[in-house]
Amino acid sequence: MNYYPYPNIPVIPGAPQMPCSPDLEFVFQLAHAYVPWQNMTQVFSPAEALSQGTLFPELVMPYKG
Amino acid sequence: MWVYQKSLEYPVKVSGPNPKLAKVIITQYGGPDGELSASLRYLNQRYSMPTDKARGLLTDIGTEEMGHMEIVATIFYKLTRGVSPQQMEAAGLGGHYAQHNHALFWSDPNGVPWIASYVQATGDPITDLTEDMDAEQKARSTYEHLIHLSDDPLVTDVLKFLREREIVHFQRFGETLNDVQGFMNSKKFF
Repeated sequence: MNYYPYPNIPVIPGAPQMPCSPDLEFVFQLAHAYVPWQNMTQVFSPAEALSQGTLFPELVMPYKG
Repeated sequence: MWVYQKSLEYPVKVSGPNPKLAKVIITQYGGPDGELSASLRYLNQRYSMPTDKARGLLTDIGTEEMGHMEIVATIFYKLTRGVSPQQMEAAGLGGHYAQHNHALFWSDPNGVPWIASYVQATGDPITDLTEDMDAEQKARSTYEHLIHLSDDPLVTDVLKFLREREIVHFQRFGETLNDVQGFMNSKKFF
């Protein structure tokens, strides 16, 4: 299946890149919502992941109250 | 179909009976932004998703939300275990006791029963995924309100876990929205 993957463009600084097919040009459209792609990097141990509520250190966002 | 695991996704311990806390926590069981709404919404919307990936994601998250409903049910059950009718009444659970004794029931803290109109399924994958992201934020906010109301650190610990899961789900729904928008755009040209 050939479709446009969503690349992270410089609008979101430091956001990870999603592998993008070179023959498809992505058009960032108004009135659409986007979330930066997460790339697989380091993960917690299973015990740490259970205690944090996520396997991914970059998604740990505790409530500051 | 489902494979059932005979343990909770996250263990539930409570410091002791606390019907006052149970009364507000019931909202994540049968309130508008609770886990029943979440699980049924996702497990129902998955049929009209355009990609296998989106269908798979809704199945996975819908399934996990059922597991969360089980966690919330366990919290309520443990917080009201051994609590007398008079103590239930004093905590504002007199109406709950009259109708359900110590059983669980899908309602919000004011006793308003769960209704299907809390959820939508438009058949438009962009609209439905946007609703799902909205639902995750509403559930996160509700968990934050409950963290403020909780006077039991053991219960707060579970609430923090459940809140973090909503953040992870939001990320996944967002990535799926990226993906589905790309898919819908590409369809116009092929």
